[in-house]
Amino acid sequence: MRYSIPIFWRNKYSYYRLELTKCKKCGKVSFFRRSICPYCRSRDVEVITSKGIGKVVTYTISYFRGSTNLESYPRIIALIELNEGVKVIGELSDVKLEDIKEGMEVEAVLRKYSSDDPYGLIYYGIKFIPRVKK
Amino acid sequence: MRNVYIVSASMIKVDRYFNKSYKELVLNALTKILDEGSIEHIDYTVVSTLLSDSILHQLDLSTVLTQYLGLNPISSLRVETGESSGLAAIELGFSLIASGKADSVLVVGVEKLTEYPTNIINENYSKILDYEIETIRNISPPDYAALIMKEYMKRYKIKREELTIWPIKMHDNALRNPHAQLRFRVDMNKVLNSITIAEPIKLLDTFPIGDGSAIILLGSERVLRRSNSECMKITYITSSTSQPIYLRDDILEFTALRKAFKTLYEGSRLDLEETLLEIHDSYSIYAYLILEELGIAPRGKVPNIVDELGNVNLSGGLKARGHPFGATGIYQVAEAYSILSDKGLGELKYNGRYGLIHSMSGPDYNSRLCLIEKVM
Repeated sequence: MRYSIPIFWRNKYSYYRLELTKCKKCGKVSFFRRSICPYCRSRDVEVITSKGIGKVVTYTISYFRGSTNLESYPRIIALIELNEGVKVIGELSDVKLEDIKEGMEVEAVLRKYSSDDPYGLIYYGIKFIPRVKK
Repeated sequence: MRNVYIVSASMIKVDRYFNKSYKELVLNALTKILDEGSIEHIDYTVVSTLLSDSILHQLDLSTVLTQYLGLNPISSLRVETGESSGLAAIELGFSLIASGKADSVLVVGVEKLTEYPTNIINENYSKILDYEIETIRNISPPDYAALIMKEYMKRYKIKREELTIWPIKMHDNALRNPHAQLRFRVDMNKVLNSITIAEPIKLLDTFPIGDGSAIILLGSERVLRRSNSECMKITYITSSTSQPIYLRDDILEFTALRKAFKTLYEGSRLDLEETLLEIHDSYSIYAYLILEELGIAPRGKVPNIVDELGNVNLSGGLKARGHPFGATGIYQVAEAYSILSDKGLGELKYNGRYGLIHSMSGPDYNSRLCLIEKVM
């Protein structure tokens, strides 16, 4: 088992639904569901659910090889600014390397992070894909 | 607060030691200090190692090590703060002596990275980031270095070629450091044609994987008086932390280093042009940002002055001396101590009074500074 099941279970809101934390004291929004504001230490915080739409601020095509992240290789790691005004770090998926551009619109989707090959658990979480125009 | 001195320092070449255990690496590094006879009265052993749990499968490594070295009975403990563990161990050793809790502290850094293939080291190294938020989601330290390097090139309109100046200089410097892992020259083409780690970071922009052990012996005034070796004072040691990359307003700012340096500068009024500097260049882009935070040159201008820098990373830096994680901070201090000493380190010698050592983890997630001074 590569990853702890309780870690995925208790982080399901951030891994699967992209929940963020808004501080009622300083007003700042931060990535991940938290119980304390990382900017001002206030515990008066509320959870907001991101719509999952944002823009690529910058990105890299990463060939750095660990032993648990071989599901996607190379990985496209991007700093994304969500429409809620908060930056998140994440992986881009379903996109050709030559099509990635700074400023491109992306949306959050559920994708595979890794798995206990050849048999066993599959670990899922949020990644980002180019926004499907409606 | 009592004065704290470096009484002795010793290290082995950073290399691949498939035939030696971590215990033997430490013993090899310790030989000089054992021969000097200065180890008789140590009160504490502080050990710094980053990946001993996952790679060496050893918990309570500091106790096991003291048993192996025959140092019993003695107080021992281990320090771990990511890539800056070595300097954190020195910070703790300093505090033990400054507070009067100990008179003599042996600070040992050891890392054994060649026990497993690189991908396993990479995976464990990535855990210096936030495991739940970053590592599990496939984010690794060089990814951040790449994002920062891209932003730096874009903001200051710097070409990729111009940023090869750092690794070229570090490899040149390492030729004179007998303990450096990579003792060969590189040129611009070699850097640009090396494999890509994370665009635009190339293999030769980053540190090699290697094993190493470095040790320093710290002592109080009382130890200084009975020592025959050249001693240097630790004038200042400080550290700070910062936000993860995705919570930063500007990814080109290293605020932990800025805070640590402000504290140190206010206490010392140091003239950096006259100071030997050892900085944490785990990726070449970080060297430029660190030197900018230290005020060596304006933002975006450090690449233009690298050639003129005769006082920075004479060791070859993490880039070419190597980066055996937990041992690195202790290598940096041991090298600065040796280079400033009358004897020098091999051919390396610096004619100055002060040495400033910087170590950090990840992209400045924590930053540590240590100022050492020749005792006149």
